[in-house]
Amino acid sequence: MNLRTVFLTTGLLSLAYASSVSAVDRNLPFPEGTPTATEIAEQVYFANHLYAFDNFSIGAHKSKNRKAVLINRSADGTDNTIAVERHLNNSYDSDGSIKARDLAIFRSGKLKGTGMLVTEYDDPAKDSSYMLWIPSLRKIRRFAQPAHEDSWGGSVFTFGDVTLRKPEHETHELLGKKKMRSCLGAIAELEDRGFRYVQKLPEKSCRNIGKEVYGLKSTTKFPNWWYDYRISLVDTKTFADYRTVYYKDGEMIKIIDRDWGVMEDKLASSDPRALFWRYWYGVDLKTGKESWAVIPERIIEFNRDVGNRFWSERTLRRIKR
Amino acid sequence: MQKYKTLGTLILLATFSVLAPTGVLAASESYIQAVKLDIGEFENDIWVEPPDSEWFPKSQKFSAGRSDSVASFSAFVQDRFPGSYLLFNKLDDNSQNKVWQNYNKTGDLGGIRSDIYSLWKQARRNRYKR
Repeated sequence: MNLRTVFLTTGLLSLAYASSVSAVDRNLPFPEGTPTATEIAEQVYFANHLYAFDNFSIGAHKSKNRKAVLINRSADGTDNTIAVERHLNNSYDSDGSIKARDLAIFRSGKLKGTGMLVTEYDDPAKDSSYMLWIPSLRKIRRFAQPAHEDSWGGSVFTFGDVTLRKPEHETHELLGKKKMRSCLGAIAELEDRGFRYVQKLPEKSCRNIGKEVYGLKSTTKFPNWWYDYRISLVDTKTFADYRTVYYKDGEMIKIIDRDWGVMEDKLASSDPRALFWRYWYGVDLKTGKESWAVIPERIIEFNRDVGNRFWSERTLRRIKR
Repeated sequence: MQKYKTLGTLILLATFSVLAPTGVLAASESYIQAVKLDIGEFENDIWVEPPDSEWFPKSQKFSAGRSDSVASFSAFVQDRFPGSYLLFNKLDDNSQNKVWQNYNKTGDLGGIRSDIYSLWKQARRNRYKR
């Protein structure tokens, strides 16, 4: 098995995971009054890393139609599909060394049975640890943190887009507030169609329409980077970032849309940032490649009564091929 | 001979256009235009009604953001916030225009009511001063 491929393809596993330590943690309070651009970026980071939850699982119950799926469509229309199960744990003592752990397991294709455990530490100087269970070898391998620009699961999303980019990696500017006007993207030919692993794919989402959003312009601090700046449309009430558009040399080069759901639970009323993704859609305007990560709401569980022991090497070794 | 040459060129072109990768055509052009329009509103401040598109659902027709004048905005306020409309109606043209412009800028529905109330209070205070 090509280990690099395995590693890069593990992107979906760490969908909401902060693989490197950030100043933003679970204790970040909900802002009072009008937040600054940097505060908005921090709140977006909080929502995207699911810090409002003790633990969060996608596809915890074993069933062939209860998985999250990542569909990558190349410009010539060829599809590649990966089914994934994922478990995130944010519930570690603040005095301990571990900040969060994220376990993900591939349930389809050549990577079926491969598992990955990512550990984030409290110590800001300490890199995250990546452990990969390789079923063909029946061994665990450790890896260094991937590069920000590496493709996430072979998709148009990069590791920076989904996990690694932190608020301090960019300078932020508030463009203003407005209503969001357009629906979110989706792979048109697959909308509302039956699909393996998820039973049925959703239609493009328009639930974001009419929501009041901040326009947040974030300019990268990295020199010679793949984008110059990006503009995000961020919900003023929940800090859900519905859309991010990337620009290079003044040209729009990539779009990422996120359809967010709200937890119908006490948790949602206590913290508006207790959100989850229904799907991510991305398109690379240079190559024409599209990616769609779909997470059916019925397979999401949170704050389950599961011990921290579940997020360990032991669970990795028990994954069945 | 020239006829065959032209025919050959046409066949080659047709073959190329079929085999060439679709590139940016993968995502629909209407979607990309919709994204550009949506983001562009931050620069333009005022929302311009887009051409008929699946990316802008019809329900938006009832949105105040699509008001093209204070008069249509006033009708929206009357329909949506009948209580606040009573105060809105008492405002002078400048203040009404200010509420509309503020809404266009922010898209904040809640802001309509608070703007109306604060402008009405301010107008009342000014009247007493005189």
